Amino acid sequence: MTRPILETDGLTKRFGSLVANDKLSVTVEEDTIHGVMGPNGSGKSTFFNTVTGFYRPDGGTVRFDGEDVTGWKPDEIARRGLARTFQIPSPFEDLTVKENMLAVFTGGIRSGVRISEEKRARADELLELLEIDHVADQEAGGVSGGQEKLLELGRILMLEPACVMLDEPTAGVNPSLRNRLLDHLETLNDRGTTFVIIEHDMRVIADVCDRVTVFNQGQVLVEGDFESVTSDERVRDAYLGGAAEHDASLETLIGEGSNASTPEGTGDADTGATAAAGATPDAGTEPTPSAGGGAVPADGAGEAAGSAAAASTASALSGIGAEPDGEPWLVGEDLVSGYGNHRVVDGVSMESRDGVTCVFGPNGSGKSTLLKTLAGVVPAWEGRVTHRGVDVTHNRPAENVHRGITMLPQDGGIFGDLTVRENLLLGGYTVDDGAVREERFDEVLSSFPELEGKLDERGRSLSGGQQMMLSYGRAMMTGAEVYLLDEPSSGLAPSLIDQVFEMTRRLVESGAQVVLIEQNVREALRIADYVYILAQGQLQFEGTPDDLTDEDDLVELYLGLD
Amino acid sequence: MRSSFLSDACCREAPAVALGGVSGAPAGPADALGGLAALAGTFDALGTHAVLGLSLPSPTIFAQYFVFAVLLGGIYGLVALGLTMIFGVMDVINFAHGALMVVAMYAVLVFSDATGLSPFFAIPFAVVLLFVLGVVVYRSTIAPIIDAPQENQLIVTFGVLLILVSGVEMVFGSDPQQLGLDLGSLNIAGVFVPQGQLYALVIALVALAGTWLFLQRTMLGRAIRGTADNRDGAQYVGIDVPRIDALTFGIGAALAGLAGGVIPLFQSFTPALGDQYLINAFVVVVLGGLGSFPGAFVGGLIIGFIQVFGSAYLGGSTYQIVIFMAFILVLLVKPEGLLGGSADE
Repeated sequence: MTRPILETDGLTKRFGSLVANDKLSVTVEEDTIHGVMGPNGSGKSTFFNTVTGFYRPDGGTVRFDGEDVTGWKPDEIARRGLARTFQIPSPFEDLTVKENMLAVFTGGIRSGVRISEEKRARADELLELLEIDHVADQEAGGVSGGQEKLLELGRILMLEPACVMLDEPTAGVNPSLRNRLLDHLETLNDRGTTFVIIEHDMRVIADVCDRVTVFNQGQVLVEGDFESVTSDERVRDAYLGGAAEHDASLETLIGEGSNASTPEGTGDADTGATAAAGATPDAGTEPTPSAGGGAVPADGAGEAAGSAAAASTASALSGIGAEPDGEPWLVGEDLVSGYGNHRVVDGVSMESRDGVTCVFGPNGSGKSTLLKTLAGVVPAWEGRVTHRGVDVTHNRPAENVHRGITMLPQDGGIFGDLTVRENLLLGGYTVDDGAVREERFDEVLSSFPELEGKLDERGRSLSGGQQMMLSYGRAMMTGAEVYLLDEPSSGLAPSLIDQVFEMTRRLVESGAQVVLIEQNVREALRIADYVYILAQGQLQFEGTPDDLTDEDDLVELYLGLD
Repeated sequence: MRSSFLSDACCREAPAVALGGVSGAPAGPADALGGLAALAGTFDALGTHAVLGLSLPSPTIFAQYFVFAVLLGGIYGLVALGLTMIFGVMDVINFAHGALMVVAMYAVLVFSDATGLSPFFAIPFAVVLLFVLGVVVYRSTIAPIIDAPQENQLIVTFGVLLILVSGVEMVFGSDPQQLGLDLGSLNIAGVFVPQGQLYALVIALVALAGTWLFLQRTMLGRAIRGTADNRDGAQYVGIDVPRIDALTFGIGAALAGLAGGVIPLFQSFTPALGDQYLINAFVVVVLGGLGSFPGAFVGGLIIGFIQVFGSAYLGGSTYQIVIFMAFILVLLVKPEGLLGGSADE
């Protein structure tokens, strides 16, 4: 029971300057279900890929079942007994479910020539076990998303692996099917199969995992059972955003890891960081007390500096003539949307309010999809969206921009091949009056003086921080009254986060309502006026930041616990 | 080889006939490429009074080839312009481009015959007609599947090609047609410059400059470039992407109309001529860089030079091999094309 079946020692994988896996040492005991969790980009999928031979490690070893399998090819590792699934199932769509099972190459070239009775029997047994035998003769391309996941698992089990690595097995699977899947996992586990699963749904981790390893920034943050892991302060920091600069003890604990790897991950953003800090010295000079649970809504740092600028910018930037009136301008009711046959947003009602409306939630909870549904990028399957009382459910994003609703996509969405000037001018594409456009152009430049010297450079040549400024500036050129911001701080050096919030406040001060998605919950709570928390595509909480004083509640809501 | 050109040296319509003989296809369509090469051979022969053999050419002959190469390259650049624009903005490989050119050629013919006016008046007519046709083709066939995999659009445009070319063939037959226009040639210090092609080159350059100015200086042009750059980003600033797509396809088709409209100035044409131009236009676009406007002209000139000098100094159709070797070489060394992707640096 205590024999380790899979061990990695100092496993390292780099992509250029990004260290995706930084000396990971993980031990999986035989006959356990081992959970791997960690925030977005913490290196979980890379770990799977490196262990199972899809990536060549840059350092360290992988031992499986007492044998060193470092550098083996994926198929060799799979036949050795270490199998895996992928986040997105990829069955042979034109074959039937059963044929998919039989198509698994179980060993030796002969298995490809004649299918043994034994293999057929095993396929039938597995189909029955996974309760997908009723669709055995249907084409795999036609089964539901959940059945696809089960088929993926079944195909892997055809190899009779000793250990199976599952990459988000329950993502996009409805709750009843999820429970079935988990039952199957436990049954198979009882029969002696070891599982390693990447999972975002904390209920799954809590239900089935014997042991949990938490990754952060490519390193192992904590390892232990679920209770001890989720109550660990470092895990909370990893998920809710570190408040390291305010807490010396935390800094010493995780400071090394985060400081070492973040700037590398964001590439040239750090050069922008220093430049940006020079340009706006007001940002971050006033440390805001947010280390504890007490969220300070809105009126904190940077406001004094921001409001002076805002007083002058308000005139041209709020081109629609917006003035806060206490009414929600953009309202979504019972929205359901998703991709293909995956329901991502499952009946969410939310509205934009005066100030900053924050949407929090773990990775995969449907935040971005919700925002895109509001903006008209992803069509709503059910429910409706209204803007100032007018139904805009079926509007395209461009039509919404005309109405005064714009969105900043996660990558900023700037035009990389166009110059900064052209980017900004295109921001005013919907503005017919050239004079207004000129005026706004000047206002934006005075808000972001750093861009002024770069007007004739291409968008892609800017640093990460400058690109983000350009993205904000371009959005301001549209003269929107509702801004939908999809994680503007993602991919930026931590030192720039203050600046992102500063710019977000500035939008508010120009009279706009802002909906903000943010991973760094603790930081974002500083500027939030209203909070929605999503998990599994459903609303878990809505209210003012004051209602969130107990951080334990926040953790539970955020991690999607009941 | 040279002698087969010589026999037709006296008549302007030589290319079609000469090529038909060379390729061995009875009553086959005029090969535009071979046709121009033959034209080059023709003037070579005139200039040197039929010097046979492999003696080095005189400066005059060389200048003559050079002029032909530039003229031919300009036409290729013009043909490639619309193709590269549609690809750059919409990621659609428009197989119907050559067919649109064919429609324009016959539109010029019909317009000239009907009105009795100079074909130069017919060219703007063809451009406008093709713009409308382009928008109609886009809205009816490509818009519904713009988000489908790229090969779907490729197949659809191929279908459009078949419909258009077959339609033209049903109405006008597959015999070569010509405008019966005798523009003659300029003789500059012993170098002949055929006026039909010269006008075509001038029109091509004006089209390039006009399109470039439109794209660089107008808000609509910027919106097209922005859409080409980042389709998602474009919608967030209020650009109606489907409308920009329709406009782009219309402009691309109008440029095909311009290219098709100028070709009758110097060449007889058949419904199959579009395909022959299209194949080289694809090479031009890839050589120059997909989506790159200057690249289209650089690529066009490269192909023009290879073709004219290749057919003059290498035997038979060897130049075709050289063209595709250059093509493969560029794909190996700089797959994004000579002027493509330079923005990354």
